[in-house]
Amino acid sequence: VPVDFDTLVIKPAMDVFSKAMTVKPLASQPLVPSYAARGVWSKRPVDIATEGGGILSSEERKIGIRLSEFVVPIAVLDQVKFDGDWYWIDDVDEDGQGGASLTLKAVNP
Amino acid sequence: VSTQGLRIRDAIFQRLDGWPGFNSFELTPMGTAQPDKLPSLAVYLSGEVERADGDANVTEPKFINDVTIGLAFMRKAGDQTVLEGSLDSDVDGIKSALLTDPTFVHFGGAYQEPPGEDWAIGIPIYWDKDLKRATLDPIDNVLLGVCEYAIGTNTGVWRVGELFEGVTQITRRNYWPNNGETYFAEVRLEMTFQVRISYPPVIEDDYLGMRLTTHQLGNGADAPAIITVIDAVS
Repeated sequence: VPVDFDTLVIKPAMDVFSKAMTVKPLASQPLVPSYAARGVWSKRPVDIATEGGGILSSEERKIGIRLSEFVVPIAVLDQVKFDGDWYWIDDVDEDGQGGASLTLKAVNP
Repeated sequence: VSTQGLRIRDAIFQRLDGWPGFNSFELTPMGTAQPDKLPSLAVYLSGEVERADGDANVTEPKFINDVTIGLAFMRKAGDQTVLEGSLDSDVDGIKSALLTDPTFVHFGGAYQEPPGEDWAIGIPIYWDKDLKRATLDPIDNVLLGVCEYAIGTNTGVWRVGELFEGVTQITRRNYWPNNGETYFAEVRLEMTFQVRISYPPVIEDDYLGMRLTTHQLGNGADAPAIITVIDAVS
């Protein structure tokens, strides 16, 4: 029996954990104005090895989204505004169950 | 690591410390950097190769050294094109500033000791950009070279040697990390300087003098002798 993860898992999770965000679809829909959406924020520390053998202590910031909530999927080089800060979408990783993880890069670091 | 290598590194660092547009300056590329400290600039001694200066089996060991000084530029930006342009501008500006600085690129020369200073052979001499004179005061000044010898007697004029003989190679490498909270980029500029170093033997039993007694051949030890004393030449 197929399990509808999108309805049974992702939607309830989004209802509990997601926060509002604004999407500026620069790449996915270039002529369309910004629109409201929601996503689940996460971040984790990452150490970036430099050429000289040092470490740049940074972090990886991501937003989880439910793909069925988007008419046109978010694409790389779209922008999102989350908690007042704008981010580039640097990567989109779909999980195959109706969700996707957006890797972010700060527009104004 | 030779003294010349660190001298060149320090001379570069003194000229770049406080360069506009950078938030941190380091003497080593190691350690952990925080993104809020960017843009950063590090100057460090990357490596050194010593090649025989002339025939390796003649006289004391003498070498021509290739001293490589690394300059690591790191920036962050919300736009990769801006990032690349900024770093390119940084590298070109700093490279040009160093290579056109006559207090950095020079063949040595004679400099007057300022009043109140007591120069000596082997001490580092700095260039005071405000007073436009050589001095042994390192505060806010940049390394010019090392005092080699006095010119004349009690003239207060000294020969200050060059920092290096030539710049033999410059390489540039760009590095773009994929992860992190924004777009980062690092450029490593490596400048290779030629210097010479030799290792003359350390003479621990210096010649002090010799007493030479000469007798006529065939006569005994009591015969009149010629005594010659050869002193050390001071």
